[in-house]
Amino acid sequence: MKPDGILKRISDSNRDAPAMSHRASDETSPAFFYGIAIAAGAAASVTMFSRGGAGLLLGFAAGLAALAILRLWTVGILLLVIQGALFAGQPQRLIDHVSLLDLITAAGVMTLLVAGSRFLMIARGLSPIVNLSEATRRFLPGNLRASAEQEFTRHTADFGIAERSTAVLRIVLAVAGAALLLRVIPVDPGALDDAWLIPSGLRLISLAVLLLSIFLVTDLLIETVTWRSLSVREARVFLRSVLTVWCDRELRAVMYQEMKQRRNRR
Amino acid sequence: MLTPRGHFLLLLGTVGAGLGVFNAQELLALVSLSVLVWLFFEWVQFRWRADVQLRGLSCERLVNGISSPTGRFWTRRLVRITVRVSPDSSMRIPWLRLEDVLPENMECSDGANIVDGYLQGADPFEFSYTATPRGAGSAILPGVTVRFGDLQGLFFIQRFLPARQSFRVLPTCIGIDTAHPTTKQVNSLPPPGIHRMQRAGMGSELLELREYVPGDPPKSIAWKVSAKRDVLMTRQYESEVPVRTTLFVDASFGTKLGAFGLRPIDQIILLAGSIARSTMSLRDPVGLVCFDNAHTMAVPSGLGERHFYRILDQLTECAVPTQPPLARLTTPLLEHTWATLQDRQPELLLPRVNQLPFRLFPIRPFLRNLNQRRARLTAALTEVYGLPADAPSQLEQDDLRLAALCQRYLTESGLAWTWPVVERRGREVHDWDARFDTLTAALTSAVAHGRDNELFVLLLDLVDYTGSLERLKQVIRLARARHHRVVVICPWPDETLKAKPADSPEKPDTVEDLVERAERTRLVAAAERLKRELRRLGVPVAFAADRRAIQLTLIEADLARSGRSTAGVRR
Repeated sequence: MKPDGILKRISDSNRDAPAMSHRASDETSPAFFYGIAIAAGAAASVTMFSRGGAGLLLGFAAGLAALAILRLWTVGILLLVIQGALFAGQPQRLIDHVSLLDLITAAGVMTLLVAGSRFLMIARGLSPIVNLSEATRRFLPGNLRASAEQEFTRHTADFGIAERSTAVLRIVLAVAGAALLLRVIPVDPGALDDAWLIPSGLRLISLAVLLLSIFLVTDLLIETVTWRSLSVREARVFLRSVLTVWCDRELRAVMYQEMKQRRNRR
Repeated sequence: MLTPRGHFLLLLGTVGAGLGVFNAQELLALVSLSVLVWLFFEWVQFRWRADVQLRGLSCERLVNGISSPTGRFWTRRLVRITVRVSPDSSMRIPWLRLEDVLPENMECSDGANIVDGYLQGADPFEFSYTATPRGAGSAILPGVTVRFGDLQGLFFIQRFLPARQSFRVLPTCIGIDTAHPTTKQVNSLPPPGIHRMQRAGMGSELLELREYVPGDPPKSIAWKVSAKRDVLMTRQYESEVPVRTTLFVDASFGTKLGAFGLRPIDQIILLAGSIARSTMSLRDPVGLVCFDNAHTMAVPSGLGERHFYRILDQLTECAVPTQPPLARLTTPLLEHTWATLQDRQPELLLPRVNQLPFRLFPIRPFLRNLNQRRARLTAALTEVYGLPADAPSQLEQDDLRLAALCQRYLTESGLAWTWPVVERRGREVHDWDARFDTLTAALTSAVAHGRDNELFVLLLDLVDYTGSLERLKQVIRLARARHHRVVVICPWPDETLKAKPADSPEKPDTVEDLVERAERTRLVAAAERLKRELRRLGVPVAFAADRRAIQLTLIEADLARSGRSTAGVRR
C-alpha cells in the first residue's frame, strides 16, 4: 500500500515496480496446500481403482473437477494420479510391443496433458475459474500469497487454428516416438547370462543410455549451430570467464597475498 | 529455461518411464515416455526459437514520432511512444510478451507498455502507449524486455533488446500573472526591467536637493532654488537600476531522496523555474547558483528566452540522481543488482557464457548459490564497465569495490534513492557541514560580486536540520548589511502546514497513523523554529511548493525594486 500525505516523502514503498525479476511460474504458495490435498485424493482414487466400480468414476470425476478449478500444479498432479493408477492397477507383462489400445490410451493421456497445460496458459482470461482461485487465495496469509504479476499467462483466452493443429501433431509425435523407443529396445531374455542383469533392468539401462545419447547429441548440435551467433559482449564475458577458470588458483593466491599485505600495513 | 511445471513433468516422466520399464508395465512406460518425448520436442523447438530466431529481433522506438537517441521532455506532459520489434528474417513465434522498460521517472498513462504479441513471417510487431514524466532530471529508455515461452508453459526465457534513448526532463513551470506592465505606457517611465531606486544615482527623476559640494557637475545646480536661498544647491537624481534575482538551489544528495515527483529537489526546481520565469517576464535579470555538498555551479544573471532555457537546463542537471554515499555490501544489494542485471543484460549471466571455476567450498547450497551469483555478477559488471581482465577476481574479494559498483549500476538503472542502494540508517545522507560550507561560500561570493539591492532566494531543504543556524545567519546578516534582500524557501512534503493536535478527536488507528502524526509534528516544530530564527534577521521564510511561495518572492522583489525596507507579507 502506498502511503499518502506526509509519509510519501519518507517511505520507500512509493516505488511503483520493484526491479526484481522473477521466473515464470504457474505455481504459487497455495499450490503446495492444493498439492497435498490432491495427492490425498489421488491416493484414495488409486485405492478405488484397484477395486474398480462406480466409486472410481466418481472419485476421478471429482478429482478432475477439483483440478480444473484449482489450476495450480494441475498438469503434474494429473499425470501423477494417472501414473499412480497405472502403477497400482496394471499387470506386469514382459513384452516389447505396445497394443493399439495402449497407443490410444497414451494418446488420450497426452491430449489431457497438452490441453491442460494450454488451458493453464490462458486461464487468466477465464474469469469464473480465476475468480474462484483468487477467492481461495485470499484466505492465506500475505507472505504465502504470490502476486498475480508473477504468473506468466497469456492475456488472450483462445488459441488460433494453427496452434490447435500443432497440438495434435505434438501428441501424435510424442506417442509415436515413445512407441518407437520401446520397440527399439527389445526385451532380451538372455540378459541374465550375458550381462548378469535381469531383462527389465538391462532394458531400463539401455533406455536411459539411449535417451541420454539422443539428448546430448541434439544439445551438441544446437549448441554448435547457436554458438556462432553470440554477441560481442557475450564473447568477451566468455573469454574472460574462461581465463578466470584457467588462472583461478593463481589469481586467488595473488589476491590473498595482497589482502594479507594490506592487513599487515594497517 | 525449464519452468517449475516443466521440471515437475520431467521428473514424473523420468520416474514413470523408469518404473514402467523396470516393472514391465508397458502402458505406464508408454505414457511416461510419451511425456519425455513431448518434452524433448518442445525443448528442441524452444531452443531453436530462443537461441536462433530471437537473436534476429531488433527494436526501434519512436518518441513523439521521432527516433532520435536524445531529446527533451517536460514534466507532467504526455509523451507518445511507439515501439516496433522487427525480425531480420521470416520466422514464426506464436507468442511472446514485450515490455518497453520505463524508468522510474516515467509512468504509463494510457495504453500498456507490456503487451502480448506474435511474429509471423517478416512482419514487424508494433505497439503504442502514452507515458508521463514525473519529475525533472533525466529519463533513459533502455530497451525492450522480451519474455518468451512455449504454448504449454514448459519453457521460458527472457531476453533484452537494447534501444537506448536518453531524454532530459525539464520542469513545467507555474505561470504567475504579474501586475506589472511589460510595455512602457508613458514616456517618462523607465523602460521595463529598469526600476527607480530611491538612492542617489544618474536617473531622470528628482530625489532631493542638497547643498553644492565641490565636484558636483555644474549642470546639476538648481539655479532658481540657489537664487532663492542664496546658497548653491544641487539636484540629486534617483537611481535607475535593474533588480537582479539570484536563485540558490540546494542540489545535495539529501534533496534527491524520495519517489520521482515527490522529492524535495522536484519542488525546489519547480519553484526556481517558476520564479525565474515570473521575474524574467518583468525583464529583471535572473542568475542561478546550484550547490551540493562539494561543488557550486553558477549561471550568471541574464535575460531572455535563451537564458531562461539555460537556467532550466542547469536545474535539470541538478535533478539527475547522483552517486549515493557508499553503502556496505549486503545480500539485498547483491540480489537487487543481480535482479536488475537479469532484467537488463540477461545474456551476460547465462552459465554457458559466464563460466565459473569449480570450487568445493562452500558446500551449503545457499552459500554456494550466493557465491556463484557473486562470481557471475563480478564478471558481468566487469564487462559492463570495461574493467581489466583480472577485475572479477579482485571484485570477488573486495567488498567495498563491489558495493560501489553495485551502487553505481543500480543508480544508473534508475534505482537511485531507496534501500538498499542508499542506507537510511540515521540521517547520514545529509552532510550539513559540507552543505553550509558551499552555501556560505557561494552567498559570500554573490554578495562580493553583486551591486546594491539584489534579491537572493535561498531554496534549501532545512526541515530536517536540527543544529545551530548561526553560520547561515552570519552570511544572511552580511547580505542584509549590503542592502540585499534574502528569501528562504524550504520544500514541504505536504499541502497543509498544520500539525494535528495531540488531543485530536481523530484517534490514530494504525501504526502508520501514529508515524504520520509524529512526522507531521516534528516537521511543524522544525518549520516554526526556522521561521522564528530567520525572521529576526528580516528574512521571510516560506514552506511550500505552490503559488504562495512564488508570490512571496515576487513581493520581496517588488520591495527590492522600490528600495523600501518595509517587510512584505509573510507566511
